[in-house]
Amino acid sequence: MSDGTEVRRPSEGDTATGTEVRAEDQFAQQHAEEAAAPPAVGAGTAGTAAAVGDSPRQASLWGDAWGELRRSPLFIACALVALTIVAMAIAPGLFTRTNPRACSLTNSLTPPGPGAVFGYDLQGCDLYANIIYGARPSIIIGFLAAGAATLFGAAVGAIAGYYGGWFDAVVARIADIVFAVPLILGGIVILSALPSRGVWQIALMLVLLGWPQIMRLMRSQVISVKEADYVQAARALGASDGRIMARHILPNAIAPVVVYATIYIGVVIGAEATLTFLGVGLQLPAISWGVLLSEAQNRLLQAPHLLLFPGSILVVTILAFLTMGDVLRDALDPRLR
Amino acid sequence: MPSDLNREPRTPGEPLLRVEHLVKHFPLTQGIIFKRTIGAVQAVDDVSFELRRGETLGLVGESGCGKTTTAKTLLRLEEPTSGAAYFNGQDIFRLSRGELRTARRKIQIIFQDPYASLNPRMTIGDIITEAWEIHPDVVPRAERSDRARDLLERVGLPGESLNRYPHQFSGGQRQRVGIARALTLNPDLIICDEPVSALDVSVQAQVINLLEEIQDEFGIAYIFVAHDLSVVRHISDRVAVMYLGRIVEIGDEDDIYEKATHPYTQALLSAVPVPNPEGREHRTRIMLEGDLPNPADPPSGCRFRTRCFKAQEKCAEEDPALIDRSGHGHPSACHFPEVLLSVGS
Repeated sequence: MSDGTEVRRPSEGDTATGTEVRAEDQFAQQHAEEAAAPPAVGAGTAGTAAAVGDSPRQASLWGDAWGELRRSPLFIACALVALTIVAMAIAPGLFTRTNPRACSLTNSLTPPGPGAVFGYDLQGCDLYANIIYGARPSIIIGFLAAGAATLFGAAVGAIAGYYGGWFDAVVARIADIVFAVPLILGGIVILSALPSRGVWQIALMLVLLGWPQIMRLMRSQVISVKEADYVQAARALGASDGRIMARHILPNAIAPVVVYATIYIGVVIGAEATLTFLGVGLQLPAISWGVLLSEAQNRLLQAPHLLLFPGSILVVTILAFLTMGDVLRDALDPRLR
Repeated sequence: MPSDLNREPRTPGEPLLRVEHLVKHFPLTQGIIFKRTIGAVQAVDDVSFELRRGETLGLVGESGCGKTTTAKTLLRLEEPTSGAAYFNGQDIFRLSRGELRTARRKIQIIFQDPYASLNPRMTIGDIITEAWEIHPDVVPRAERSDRARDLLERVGLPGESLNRYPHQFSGGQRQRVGIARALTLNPDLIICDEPVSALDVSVQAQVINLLEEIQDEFGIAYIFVAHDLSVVRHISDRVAVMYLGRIVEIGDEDDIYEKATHPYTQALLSAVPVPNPEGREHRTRIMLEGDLPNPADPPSGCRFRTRCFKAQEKCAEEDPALIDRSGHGHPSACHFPEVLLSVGS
């Protein structure tokens, strides 16, 4: 390495101020020659300083995702559907003045017509009012079950992923057992064993059967994030486990879980309707979409509107939540931008 | 470098860091709930070295030789299997959680990949000041943003960078942020884990220079991990060459680059590209055969013997200790140490 181009500490005569540029020059030049490229000392600093100067916007994952979502017609349409359904659940009075329980048998099975846009059911109750009032149990169960499953699953998954060890092993085995139980079959078995079945029981059952999905998702996210260099750096600074979790791991791990939670709302609403239709969910005199559907099943040919309207709104609602989840997933993935 | 002038004369006495017989084995397990250990990857096997205050030790070797694991165990990011590391006279492997928190202030790390080492959800300001939130007594709350600004400017970034996010910066700039973060707690030792390997060559020089300036200014010792002998030569006072979890040769710049006695060091040196075509043809190139042996099942005797051009029967039977056998002035873990004049310079 006596050919003169090899990096060498500048001789001891150099002063502190004069050395930097020379050493930099020498070092860069040597490498630049190896790469057969012109020496580019200083270019990096100049170019990047300009890049810093002209981007005043503070970008963040959620901020960018929101910008993306606002410009997506699909997301806006789905969000409007979801908001409408939620509004129905909160204040059904805004959508209909008819009392869903004010029924007259003379109207039994009357098809849609003036005075009743969706027609009347077997008992002669207004179907439109029933659908409006039936949104509440679906939405309550949907948000409650998806919310609780997400909180529980994410908490367990985060602890299992972060600490590993026996807790992780035990939780993973329990999750496997729950996975082996099909959602509907498990629902039928559990609910038919209960003395009374209401919104709470159904929601609890859907949490019990739904949390492992979220747990697995969260666990794998945490495992992949916890090895990241910035987590190691925080640990090297002396950060506590709680701080590492709250500041570093969760913000970087939560996005897919939020996406799945949105989709799970749709799944839960569908599952509630299915279980009710099968006769193990909500029971008359409760008003819900599943109850309406189960009433419709025996008179499908005679009165198809009984199936058509509750079925459509159920499908549209579920579709809205599933699609929102999908669009959200794409918006949260920077690689797709 | 001016560091050679400014540095305090090396006084004998307690070094800043003394690593003794550091071992890190990663157990290989089988089974789902009841795990059985069926072997161990010997990532680091009996590594000892010393580091003086303000000194730079280069740690060189090919990937998988245990240099990064050595670095991470010193920070207790990996728990060592056995051994001791006395830092300021305190064995950092025997510290309790609370003591470790305090000790960690004095050892910091700079990572290889500047894209993975900064939390993408935090602003540069949050990243810099986090250390002071964890150790509130270092900088009073009111002064934090000014101090963060000063630090950023010290590493060559505009002070306004505080409010920006990592993805708005280039690799070289991110690495500067990483350096600023490592400086927040006024450490005595910074472990640089291949800090320039992921950067463009022109930016590499700037970052290396910055590291040297900072060393002169604050008197920080570095353990500089790299796989590139020429980068290490530029910054290191002493160099340790690692192979398969062991240090095979350690010495100062002259010992390693001019008087290397271990065949592995010689092979590495002969692989350094020479930019000047004149005389390049006359250099001996040592081509190593085969791949790195499985670290879970290292060769008997000398670990390098399977790829060594000098290997003899003795090498398979006896593990060569890291000692100065032939009076070359620095230790080398080879039964047949000898200086090859045709490699390196």
